[in-house]
Amino acid sequence: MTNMHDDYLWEPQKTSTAPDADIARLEKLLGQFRAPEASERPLPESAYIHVMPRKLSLAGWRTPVAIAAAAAVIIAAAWITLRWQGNPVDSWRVASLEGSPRIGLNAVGVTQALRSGQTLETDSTSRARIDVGEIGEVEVGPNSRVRLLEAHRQDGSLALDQGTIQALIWAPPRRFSVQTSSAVAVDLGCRYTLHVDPNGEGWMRVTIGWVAFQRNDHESFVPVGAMCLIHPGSGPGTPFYEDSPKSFQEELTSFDRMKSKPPDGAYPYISHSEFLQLVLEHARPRDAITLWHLLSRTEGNDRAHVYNRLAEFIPPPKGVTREGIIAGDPHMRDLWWDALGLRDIEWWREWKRDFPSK
Amino acid sequence: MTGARYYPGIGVTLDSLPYTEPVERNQQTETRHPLVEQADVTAARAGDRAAFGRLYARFLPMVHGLLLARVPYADVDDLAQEVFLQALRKLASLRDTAAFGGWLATIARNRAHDFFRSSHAQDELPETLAAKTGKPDAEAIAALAAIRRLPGAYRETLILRLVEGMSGPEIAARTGLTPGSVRVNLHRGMTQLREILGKG
Repeated sequence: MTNMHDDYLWEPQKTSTAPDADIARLEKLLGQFRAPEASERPLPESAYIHVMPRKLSLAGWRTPVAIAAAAAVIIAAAWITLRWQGNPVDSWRVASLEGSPRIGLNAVGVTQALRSGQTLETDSTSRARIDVGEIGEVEVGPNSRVRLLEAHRQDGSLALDQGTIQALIWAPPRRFSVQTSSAVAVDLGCRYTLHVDPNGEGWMRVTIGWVAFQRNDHESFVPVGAMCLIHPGSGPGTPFYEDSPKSFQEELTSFDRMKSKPPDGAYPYISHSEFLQLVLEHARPRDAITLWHLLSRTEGNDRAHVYNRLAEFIPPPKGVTREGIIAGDPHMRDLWWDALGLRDIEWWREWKRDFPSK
Repeated sequence: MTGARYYPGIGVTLDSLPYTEPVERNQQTETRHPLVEQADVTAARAGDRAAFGRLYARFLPMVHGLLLARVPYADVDDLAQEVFLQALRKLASLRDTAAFGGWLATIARNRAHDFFRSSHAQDELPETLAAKTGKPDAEAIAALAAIRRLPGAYRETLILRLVEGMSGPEIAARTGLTPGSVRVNLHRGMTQLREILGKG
């Protein structure tokens, strides 16, 4: 058996050479015994009756409602500043790193221009590099589709429809952004990896610097060492440090992903609030950044619990009151952010930033 | 990335930066972040039907394949559902959410074992295939029968690969086996299968 055939047996999607004929024939023959789609054979409803989940001795829950936030204004301001900069060049240079990446129907050669509106695609065996004007570069991984939205020498934006990119940007903050179906990642001077599945799920991991991740009323500020998941329909998850306890990460993800409304039927349900209690219980002082984000993702008693836990780690600074935080005062929340020691909130949001002359 | 360029903004050359693989559990085809799957396990344990439904959809091919490696084809679909119902009932006892796949695989293997201890235990593969599919492909039945003559570890991995269409990394991620074990099982199993089919 050759290595080529071993490769096909191991991972057929990644093998660029012709498949082993015997294996391909067996796949075709045996495919008729394959499992049905889950949708063709769903579990019976009765499966869920009389199944009791793990009980938690936590406080009762209440149904969360949508969070009213002012972040849309921030996003608009960010877009205005992004669009304001740079001389238009309308294209960025693309180089093939491996395999045969394509722009439209054309294979990318050693280098090629990617123009605004064009799509760069890689298959399972190809990778490409996009030079982001003069400010950075983006490596596009296998099985990815990236559209160039706007290209300038000193700024621009991409859309990641699916796949993985790794961005390294050495320009001042907010010169480069990546749109996904669920959120916009705004570079604040950093290196990060962003992945999006075809169904909209994904994640972002920051390895140098900072990234702001935004969608409507959700904003996530992600520093080096942290990551956040992307949930279809609800945008960026709550950021967390990768060195945080596993239980904390799982409970936080469950909190982000679970529907706010319990399902009907006899199958018992543990609520958002109960998962929140577990998150708070397992948080470390270093996880204050996560708790700060939870202030705007909770309300009422839940927010009060977050306040209490965050106050244990980072005492609320002057001007921040319990009542104000529970009432959702954004100014007080921002003041508390400044006490986290992760640069002040205006740097993250760039409300008052003066862009350097070009 | 090519070239060792110096970037004043961050004070490093690009090549000196550590490359971060996009996925930790499985770096090749399994791109879903492990936390998403683990969160589904956590949520399902807490009573979220939709989360358990996603786990059912994701793991049904693995359970189906593990059963097909052991029991008559006509019984596999029903037994697969039984495995998931059993898993749902026992989910509260699963401590490590990251171990869900391996835990589920054990339930499936045990269920197959119980099947043969029960009164309807028989292993008449061609007939039971005929009962289910109506028009069995004789060559396919012979191929499946040949795989089922292999040792258990080879049989499982080859069925997951050739019948269920899972890649090696996917098999490892789903079953909890190490990628190295799966690769060895696939390679040796395929070698033995070629020998059996060649003699046939």
